[in-house]
Amino acid sequence: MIYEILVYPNPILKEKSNDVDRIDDNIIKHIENLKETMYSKDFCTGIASSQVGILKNIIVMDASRFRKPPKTHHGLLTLINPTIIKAEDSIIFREGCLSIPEYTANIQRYKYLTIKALDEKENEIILDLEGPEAVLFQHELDHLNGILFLDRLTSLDNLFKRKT
Amino acid sequence: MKKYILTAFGKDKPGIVASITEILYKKGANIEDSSMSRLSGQFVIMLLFTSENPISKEDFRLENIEVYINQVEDEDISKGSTCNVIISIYGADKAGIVYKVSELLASKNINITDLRTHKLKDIYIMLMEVELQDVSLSSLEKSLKELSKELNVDISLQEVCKEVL
Repeated sequence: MIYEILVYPNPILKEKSNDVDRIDDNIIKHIENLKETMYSKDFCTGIASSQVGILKNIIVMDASRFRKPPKTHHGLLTLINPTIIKAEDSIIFREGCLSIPEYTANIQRYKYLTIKALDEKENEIILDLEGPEAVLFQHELDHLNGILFLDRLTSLDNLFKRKT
Repeated sequence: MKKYILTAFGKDKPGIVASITEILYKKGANIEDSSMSRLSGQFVIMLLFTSENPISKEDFRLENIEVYINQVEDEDISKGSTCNVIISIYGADKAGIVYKVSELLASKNINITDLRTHKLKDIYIMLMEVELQDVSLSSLEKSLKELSKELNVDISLQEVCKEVL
Protein backbone atom coordinates (compact mmCIF):
# COMPACT_ATOMS: atom_id res chain seq x y z
CA MET A 1 0.00 0.00 0.00
CA ILE A 2 1.29 3.42 -0.94
CA TYR A 3 0.67 5.99 1.76
CA GLU A 4 -0.29 9.60 1.19
CA ILE A 5 2.52 11.91 2.32
CA LEU A 6 1.44 14.67 4.69
CA VAL A 7 2.33 18.16 3.54
CA TYR A 8 3.05 21.15 5.79
CA PRO A 9 1.08 22.91 7.38
CA ASN A 10 -0.44 19.59 8.48
CA PRO A 11 0.08 19.81 12.29
CA ILE A 12 0.99 16.11 12.65
CA LEU A 13 4.35 16.96 11.07
CA LYS A 14 5.21 19.03 14.15
CA GLU A 15 4.43 16.24 16.61
CA LYS A 16 6.96 13.92 18.27
CA SER A 17 6.77 10.23 17.52
CA ASN A 18 6.86 7.41 20.06
CA ASP A 19 9.16 4.41 20.37
CA VAL A 20 7.99 1.09 18.99
CA ASP A 21 7.49 -1.32 21.95
CA ARG A 22 7.01 -4.52 20.00
CA ILE A 23 7.73 -5.30 16.36
CA ASP A 24 4.57 -7.22 15.53
CA ASP A 25 2.89 -8.05 12.22
CA ASN A 26 1.22 -4.64 12.07
CA ILE A 27 4.58 -2.88 12.40
CA ILE A 28 6.15 -5.17 9.77
CA LYS A 29 3.26 -4.44 7.39
CA HIS A 30 3.62 -0.70 8.10
CA ILE A 31 7.34 -0.87 7.31
CA GLU A 32 6.62 -2.64 4.01
CA ASN A 33 4.14 0.12 3.16
CA LEU A 34 6.71 2.81 4.01
CA LYS A 35 9.23 1.15 1.66
CA GLU A 36 6.63 0.84 -1.09
CA THR A 37 5.75 4.51 -0.63
CA MET A 38 9.43 5.56 -0.73
CA TYR A 39 10.12 3.57 -3.90
CA SER A 40 6.97 4.93 -5.57
CA LYS A 41 8.38 8.49 -5.52
CA ASP A 42 11.13 9.45 -7.93
CA PHE A 43 14.42 10.14 -6.15
CA CYS A 44 12.82 9.77 -2.72
CA THR A 45 15.66 8.69 -0.44
CA GLY A 46 13.84 8.33 2.86
CA ILE A 47 10.56 8.50 4.72
CA ALA A 48 9.88 8.90 8.41
CA SER A 49 6.73 7.26 9.70
CA SER A 50 5.37 10.59 10.95
CA GLN A 51 5.25 11.82 7.34
CA VAL A 52 2.40 9.42 6.70
CA GLY A 53 0.63 10.35 9.94
CA ILE A 54 1.74 7.36 12.05
CA LEU A 55 3.72 8.68 15.00
CA LYS A 56 6.10 5.75 15.47
CA ASN A 57 9.88 6.05 15.60
CA ILE A 58 10.51 4.30 12.29
CA ILE A 59 12.63 5.43 9.33
CA VAL A 60 13.13 3.76 5.99
CA MET A 61 15.92 5.19 3.86
CA ASP A 62 17.98 4.23 0.87
CA ALA A 63 21.02 6.37 0.05
CA SER A 64 21.53 4.54 -3.26
CA ARG A 65 18.59 6.60 -4.56
CA PHE A 66 20.41 9.95 -4.39
CA ARG A 67 20.72 11.57 -7.82
CA LYS A 68 24.45 11.36 -7.18
CA PRO A 69 24.77 8.26 -4.97
CA PRO A 70 27.60 8.52 -2.43
CA LYS A 71 30.55 6.17 -2.82
CA THR A 72 29.83 4.45 0.45
CA HIS A 73 26.35 3.77 1.76
CA HIS A 74 24.28 0.97 3.30
CA GLY A 75 21.50 0.86 0.69
CA LEU A 76 18.05 0.19 2.08
CA LEU A 77 17.86 0.64 5.85
CA THR A 78 14.94 0.12 8.16
CA LEU A 79 15.64 1.86 11.44
CA ILE A 80 13.33 1.42 14.41
CA ASN A 81 13.75 3.63 17.51
CA PRO A 82 16.89 5.20 16.02
CA THR A 83 19.28 7.38 18.02
CA ILE A 84 22.60 9.11 17.44
CA ILE A 85 25.51 7.79 19.52
CA LYS A 86 28.28 9.95 18.11
CA ALA A 87 28.38 12.92 15.73
CA GLU A 88 31.37 14.69 14.24
CA ASP A 89 32.28 17.42 11.75
CA SER A 90 29.78 19.35 9.70
CA ILE A 91 28.53 19.45 6.14
CA ILE A 92 26.16 21.80 4.32
CA PHE A 93 23.70 19.98 2.11
CA ARG A 94 20.82 21.14 -0.11
CA GLU A 95 17.78 19.39 1.32
CA GLY A 96 14.33 18.88 -0.09
CA CYS A 97 11.39 17.19 1.57
CA LEU A 98 8.20 15.57 0.27
CA SER A 99 6.35 17.27 3.11
CA ILE A 100 7.55 20.74 2.06
CA PRO A 101 7.36 20.36 -1.71
CA GLU A 102 7.82 24.02 -2.63
CA TYR A 103 11.24 24.58 -1.08
CA THR A 104 14.76 23.30 -0.76
CA ALA A 105 17.32 24.71 1.67
CA ASN A 106 21.01 24.59 2.52
CA ILE A 107 21.18 23.11 5.99
CA GLN A 108 24.19 22.43 8.18
CA ARG A 109 24.36 18.86 9.53
CA TYR A 110 26.85 16.48 11.09
CA LYS A 111 29.04 14.80 8.48
CA TYR A 112 29.89 11.61 10.39
CA LEU A 113 27.51 9.72 12.63
CA THR A 114 27.42 6.57 14.63
CA ILE A 115 23.81 5.52 15.10
CA LYS A 116 21.91 2.84 16.95
CA ALA A 117 18.54 1.32 16.04
CA LEU A 118 16.58 -1.90 15.89
CA ASP A 119 16.10 -3.71 12.62
CA GLU A 120 12.89 -5.48 11.57
CA LYS A 121 13.99 -8.64 13.43
CA GLU A 122 14.43 -6.62 16.63
CA ASN A 123 18.23 -6.94 16.46
CA GLU A 124 20.18 -3.92 17.72
CA ILE A 125 22.30 -2.49 14.92
CA ILE A 126 25.09 0.07 15.18
CA LEU A 127 26.13 1.81 11.97
CA ASP A 128 28.62 4.43 10.88
CA LEU A 129 27.09 6.85 8.38
CA GLU A 130 28.88 9.58 6.48
CA GLY A 131 28.17 12.41 4.08
CA PRO A 132 24.80 12.37 2.29
CA GLU A 133 23.68 9.21 4.09
CA ALA A 134 24.38 10.85 7.46
CA VAL A 135 22.47 13.95 6.33
CA LEU A 136 19.55 11.80 5.19
CA PHE A 137 19.41 10.08 8.58
CA GLN A 138 19.42 13.40 10.46
CA HIS A 139 16.65 14.78 8.21
CA GLU A 140 14.46 11.73 8.90
CA LEU A 141 15.30 11.67 12.61
CA ASP A 142 14.22 15.32 12.79
CA HIS A 143 10.82 14.29 11.38
CA LEU A 144 10.43 11.83 14.26
CA ASN A 145 11.03 14.73 16.65
CA GLY A 146 8.58 17.06 14.89
CA ILE A 147 11.39 19.15 13.42
CA LEU A 148 11.33 20.31 9.79
CA PHE A 149 14.26 21.72 7.86
CA LEU A 150 12.55 25.12 8.08
CA ASP A 151 13.38 25.02 11.82
CA ARG A 152 17.07 24.72 10.99
CA LEU A 153 17.29 27.69 8.62
CA THR A 154 19.66 30.40 9.76
CA SER A 155 19.06 32.72 6.82
CA LEU A 156 16.47 33.11 4.09
CA ASP A 157 19.46 33.30 1.76
CA ASN A 158 19.66 29.53 2.30
CA LEU A 159 16.08 28.89 1.16
CA PHE A 160 15.26 28.15 -2.47
CA LYS A 161 12.17 27.52 -4.50
CA ARG A 162 12.23 23.95 -5.72
CA LYS A 163 12.89 23.79 -9.44
CA THR A 164 11.99 20.16 -10.11
CA MET B 1 34.87 60.67 6.40
CA LYS B 2 31.11 60.79 6.78
CA LYS B 3 28.72 57.84 6.73
CA TYR B 4 25.43 57.81 4.84
CA ILE B 5 22.50 55.52 4.22
CA LEU B 6 20.94 55.60 0.78
CA THR B 7 17.55 54.11 0.04
CA ALA B 8 16.18 53.99 -3.48
CA PHE B 9 13.48 52.24 -5.42
CA GLY B 10 11.93 52.23 -8.85
CA LYS B 11 10.33 49.95 -11.38
CA ASP B 12 12.79 47.16 -12.02
CA LYS B 13 14.84 47.34 -15.20
CA PRO B 14 18.44 46.59 -16.15
CA GLY B 15 20.95 49.25 -15.06
CA ILE B 16 19.49 50.59 -11.80
CA VAL B 17 22.40 49.39 -9.67
CA ALA B 18 24.93 50.61 -12.24
CA SER B 19 23.42 54.09 -12.48
CA ILE B 20 23.36 54.61 -8.70
CA THR B 21 26.78 53.12 -8.01
CA GLU B 22 28.30 55.10 -10.90
CA ILE B 23 27.32 58.35 -9.18
CA LEU B 24 28.68 57.11 -5.84
CA TYR B 25 31.93 56.00 -7.49
CA LYS B 26 32.42 59.34 -9.27
CA LYS B 27 31.82 61.16 -5.98
CA GLY B 28 34.56 59.06 -4.35
CA ALA B 29 32.14 57.21 -2.08
CA ASN B 30 32.84 53.72 -0.75
CA ILE B 31 29.97 51.25 -0.38
CA GLU B 32 30.04 49.18 2.82
CA ASP B 33 26.89 47.16 3.51
CA SER B 34 24.08 46.85 1.02
CA SER B 35 20.87 44.99 0.44
CA MET B 36 19.11 45.10 -2.90
CA SER B 37 16.09 43.12 -3.97
CA ARG B 38 13.10 43.06 -6.27
CA LEU B 39 9.77 43.25 -4.48
CA SER B 40 6.77 42.80 -6.74
CA GLY B 41 8.44 44.40 -9.74
CA GLN B 42 10.01 47.28 -7.79
CA PHE B 43 13.77 47.21 -7.29
CA VAL B 44 14.61 48.34 -3.77
CA ILE B 45 18.08 49.36 -2.63
CA MET B 46 19.42 50.03 0.85
CA LEU B 47 23.10 50.77 1.16
CA LEU B 48 25.55 52.18 3.62
CA PHE B 49 28.45 54.18 2.25
CA THR B 50 31.20 56.49 3.39
CA SER B 51 32.34 59.59 1.57
CA GLU B 52 34.71 62.50 2.13
CA ASN B 53 32.71 64.64 -0.27
CA PRO B 54 29.22 65.74 0.68
CA ILE B 55 26.53 63.83 -1.17
CA SER B 56 22.86 64.67 -1.33
CA LYS B 57 19.69 63.50 -3.00
CA GLU B 58 20.18 66.18 -5.67
CA ASP B 59 23.25 64.33 -6.96
CA PHE B 60 20.93 61.53 -8.13
CA ARG B 61 18.82 62.75 -11.01
CA LEU B 62 17.55 59.43 -12.29
CA GLU B 63 14.43 58.82 -14.29
CA ASN B 64 11.70 56.93 -12.37
CA ILE B 65 13.97 56.14 -9.41
CA GLU B 66 13.31 57.66 -6.00
CA VAL B 67 16.49 58.21 -3.98
CA TYR B 68 16.81 59.26 -0.33
CA ILE B 69 20.04 59.92 1.55
CA ASN B 70 20.63 60.40 5.26
CA GLN B 71 23.86 61.00 7.08
CA VAL B 72 24.30 58.64 10.05
CA GLU B 73 26.61 58.40 13.05
CA ASP B 74 29.04 55.55 13.60
CA GLU B 75 27.60 52.80 15.78
CA ASP B 76 29.55 51.56 18.78
CA ILE B 77 29.53 47.85 17.97
CA SER B 78 30.97 46.94 21.38
CA LYS B 79 27.53 47.73 22.84
CA GLY B 80 25.97 44.77 21.02
CA SER B 81 25.04 41.61 22.88
CA THR B 82 27.34 38.56 22.84
CA CYS B 83 24.58 36.19 21.82
CA ASN B 84 21.82 36.77 19.31
CA VAL B 85 18.86 34.57 18.62
CA ILE B 86 17.57 33.56 15.21
CA ILE B 87 13.81 33.16 15.33
CA SER B 88 12.17 31.27 12.50
CA ILE B 89 8.44 31.49 12.12
CA TYR B 90 6.48 29.71 9.47
CA GLY B 91 2.96 28.62 8.75
CA ALA B 92 -0.10 29.25 6.67
CA ASP B 93 -0.11 32.88 5.56
CA LYS B 94 -2.32 35.33 7.41
CA ALA B 95 -2.28 39.04 8.17
CA GLY B 96 -0.53 40.18 11.36
CA ILE B 97 2.28 37.66 11.83
CA VAL B 98 5.07 40.26 11.60
CA TYR B 99 3.12 42.73 13.75
CA LYS B 100 2.24 40.28 16.54
CA VAL B 101 5.77 38.87 16.82
CA SER B 102 7.47 42.27 16.66
CA GLU B 103 4.98 43.65 19.20
CA LEU B 104 5.87 40.87 21.63
CA LEU B 105 9.59 41.53 21.12
CA ALA B 106 9.14 45.27 21.59
CA SER B 107 7.22 44.68 24.84
CA LYS B 108 10.30 42.82 26.15
CA ASN B 109 12.68 45.51 24.88
CA ILE B 110 14.24 43.01 22.46
CA ASN B 111 15.93 44.61 19.49
CA ILE B 112 15.48 43.17 15.99
CA THR B 113 18.70 43.41 13.97
CA ASP B 114 17.57 41.57 10.86
CA LEU B 115 14.20 40.55 9.51
CA ARG B 116 13.27 38.89 6.25
CA THR B 117 10.04 37.34 5.14
CA HIS B 118 9.13 35.18 2.21
CA LYS B 119 5.85 33.85 0.93
CA LEU B 120 5.46 31.02 -1.52
CA LYS B 121 1.99 29.75 -2.29
CA ASP B 122 0.32 29.49 1.11
CA ILE B 123 3.39 29.16 3.31
CA TYR B 124 4.74 32.27 4.97
CA ILE B 125 8.27 32.21 6.38
CA MET B 126 9.88 34.88 8.55
CA LEU B 127 13.43 34.78 9.83
CA MET B 128 14.57 37.37 12.29
CA GLU B 129 17.72 37.92 14.31
CA VAL B 130 17.32 39.62 17.65
CA GLU B 131 19.60 40.82 20.44
CA LEU B 132 18.87 39.45 23.89
CA GLN B 133 19.74 41.95 26.60
CA ASP B 134 17.46 41.67 29.63
CA VAL B 135 15.47 38.56 28.74
CA SER B 136 16.53 34.92 28.99
CA LEU B 137 16.33 32.61 26.00
CA SER B 138 13.96 30.25 27.83
CA SER B 139 11.58 33.05 28.79
CA LEU B 140 11.54 34.36 25.21
CA GLU B 141 10.93 30.85 23.91
CA LYS B 142 8.01 30.36 26.30
CA SER B 143 6.37 33.64 25.23
CA LEU B 144 6.88 32.91 21.55
CA LYS B 145 5.47 29.38 21.86
CA GLU B 146 2.32 30.82 23.44
CA LEU B 147 2.04 33.34 20.62
CA SER B 148 2.62 30.63 18.02
CA LYS B 149 -0.49 28.80 19.27
CA GLU B 150 -2.53 32.00 19.00
CA LEU B 151 -1.27 32.66 15.46
CA ASN B 152 -1.34 28.98 14.48
CA VAL B 153 2.24 29.14 13.19
CA ASP B 154 5.40 27.26 14.10
CA ILE B 155 8.24 29.06 15.84
CA SER B 156 11.74 27.85 16.63
CA LEU B 157 14.75 29.58 18.14
CA GLN B 158 18.46 29.07 17.55
CA GLU B 159 21.02 30.86 19.71
CA VAL B 160 23.98 32.30 17.82
CA CYS B 161 26.87 33.44 19.98
CA LYS B 162 29.66 35.60 18.67
CA GLU B 163 32.98 34.26 19.84
CA VAL B 164 36.46 35.27 18.84
CA LEU B 165 38.28 32.08 17.89
